[in-house]
Amino acid sequence: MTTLGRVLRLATYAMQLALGGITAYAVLQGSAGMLANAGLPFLIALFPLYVRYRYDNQLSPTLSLWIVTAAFLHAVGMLGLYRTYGWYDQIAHGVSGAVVAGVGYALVRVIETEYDSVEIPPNLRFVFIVVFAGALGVVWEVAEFALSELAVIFGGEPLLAQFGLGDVVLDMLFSIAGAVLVAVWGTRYFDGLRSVVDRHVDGDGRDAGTDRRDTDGRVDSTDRTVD
Amino acid sequence: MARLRGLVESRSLNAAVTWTLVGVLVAGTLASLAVGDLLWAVFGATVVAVALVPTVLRRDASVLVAWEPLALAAVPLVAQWVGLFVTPLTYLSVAALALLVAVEIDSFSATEMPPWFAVLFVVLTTLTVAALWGILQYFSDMLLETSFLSGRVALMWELVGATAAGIAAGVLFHRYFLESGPDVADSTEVGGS
Repeated sequence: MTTLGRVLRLATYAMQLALGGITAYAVLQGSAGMLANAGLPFLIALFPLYVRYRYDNQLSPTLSLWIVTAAFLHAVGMLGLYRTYGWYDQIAHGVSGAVVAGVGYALVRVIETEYDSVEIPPNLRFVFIVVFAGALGVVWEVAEFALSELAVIFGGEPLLAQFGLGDVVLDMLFSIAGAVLVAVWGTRYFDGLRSVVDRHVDGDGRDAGTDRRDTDGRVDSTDRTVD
Repeated sequence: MARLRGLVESRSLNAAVTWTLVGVLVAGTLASLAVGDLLWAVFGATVVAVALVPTVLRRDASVLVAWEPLALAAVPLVAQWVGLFVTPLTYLSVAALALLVAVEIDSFSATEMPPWFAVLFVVLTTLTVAALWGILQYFSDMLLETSFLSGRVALMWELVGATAAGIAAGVLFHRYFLESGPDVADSTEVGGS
């Protein structure tokens, strides 16, 4: 691994640690609101580690760093920066959209490489990534909504804040727009560019992302032509 | 997954019903356009486009999607003219569209989807289409001065409804189309010899 790769990994670990710290602090304070806003991003930030141990399949350092950064920014923002600084609010939607898009991308890649029965042609991977990320965005909004409704029923403070119609719509829009960007980046046509970036980061010459056994001339054994 | 392909059929009765539905959809789309109802025109055009994918890919007017999901997808376009049950029917339609997209991807690409993944894909597609529909409604309200969404809570209940419809569609899909036995599906496979 090159120095740059090592630096990226270190930055990733540092932010995972910081998120763990904030989560632990929330537990000690007994603050449910803080726990929800730090704990969920912490779980998302652990996703690259989970993939490594469960599937023995390392996500590229760039992708890991990106997922963890987005989760970290979201947690820190929810602790107060969103309300304190106007500019932080401006990037809020972009950041949470990036988390969702990143997780959607990673999920598709993991399913693709882990389950032999699932075959996604490279030129359709785009569709799957956008669908996964768009759906995750909706699940996220529905979860926030359900938690806040329950909080109202039990007479407490909403744990996860939904500020208004525009916020919900922009969150969903950014998830999908982010997924389109990631999908473009993750689709075959851009693999050349991507592997150059990853090789620089990883330094060992092989594809630093997950396996891509499907990119080169796999025989299309389907019998779907008419006649 | 040969069984999934049973949904894209080439039987003549199905072709007749499906072409009729396509005609109704095109008429509805044009009517929406004519009265300046841009959003429903987009909806209608999308359903028509998805319905015609197999026909265009095969260049064969007798190869069409099954009429049942297409009819489900078409219902809200009719319902919004009548003004009845538009919102719940829209979820249903979104789920039916998702189903058609999943089947087409399975039939016309090298994609291999085991049943669990096909069901998951139907559910997720429903959610994504619901999100896109919400976004469209929001910007239509902002830019075209329509009033589709009354507020955050209304949108959230739409999304909850769409989620429920998506899960229901996934379950239905699994039970109805995957467990209905290979006999039915084999005889209706695209280009079946």
